[in-house]
Amino acid sequence: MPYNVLIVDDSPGMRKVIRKMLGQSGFATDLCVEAGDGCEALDVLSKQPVDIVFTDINMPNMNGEELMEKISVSPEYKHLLVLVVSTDRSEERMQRMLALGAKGYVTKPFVPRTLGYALTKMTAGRA
Amino acid sequence: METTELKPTELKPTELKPIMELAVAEVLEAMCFISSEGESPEAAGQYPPDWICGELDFAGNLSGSFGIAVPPATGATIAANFLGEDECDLSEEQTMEVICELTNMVAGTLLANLDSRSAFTLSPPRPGHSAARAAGDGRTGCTVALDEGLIATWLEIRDRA
Repeated sequence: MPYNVLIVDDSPGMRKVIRKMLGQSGFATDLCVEAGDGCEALDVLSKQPVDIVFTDINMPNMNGEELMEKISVSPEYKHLLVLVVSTDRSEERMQRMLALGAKGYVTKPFVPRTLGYALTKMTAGRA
Repeated sequence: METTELKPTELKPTELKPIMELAVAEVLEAMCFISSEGESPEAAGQYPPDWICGELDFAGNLSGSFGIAVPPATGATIAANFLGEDECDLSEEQTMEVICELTNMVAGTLLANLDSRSAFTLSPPRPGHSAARAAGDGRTGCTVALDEGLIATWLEIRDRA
């Protein structure tokens, strides 16, 4: 089943790379939208039917952790699968994001198969 | 990469440079399909004013700043490979943005190799000042030769939190 995805990163280049790698990984997507920070992401989520969110952590205005906090307390976003894509490799950060409800964590730099594997693992069992 | 037994602030430039080179190689290989050819014999010092630079500050168990600088031609190749576009289709702004993102990724990789346990906060990467010195004044500089040119990096660890 194709998924609707939202890519959240303050780097337009990185958003483009993730979009490109999604295609290369063979993961089926339908709608693919973007946001430059957590605030924009929440705006998109209120208007578009998103299934999966890719989010960076270090972003201006609202960072990825703050975005996760907002998503985790909102019943309307209970269905979302969140994959963190970040340069931060610390165990401390990883555990914090997973505790907030992220279903996967990919560290930059990454190759298409890494993204594909994380997505497959995250969506396993979903109809 | 093996975790060093020394604290990062105790590492000498000769010990920091291979770690910096490794971070550059890892990021460029994965994201831009560009191979590193090891540390360049070119001295890390002041670099030409037309080089494209990115820099950021980091804070956490360690604080300091990190930057990279590339010649325009290398910057264009890196950006084209990163974005999957032809060099001639890219604007200077796009190239600058990619170099800034590269700064972000190399810094993150480097800091993780220096201290794998701690979380770091990285400032948004910003275009740097080409007239800045790459080494000296408490900074460690490392210039890496690439199959597509050169990349200069510098690291300044100011203090521990």
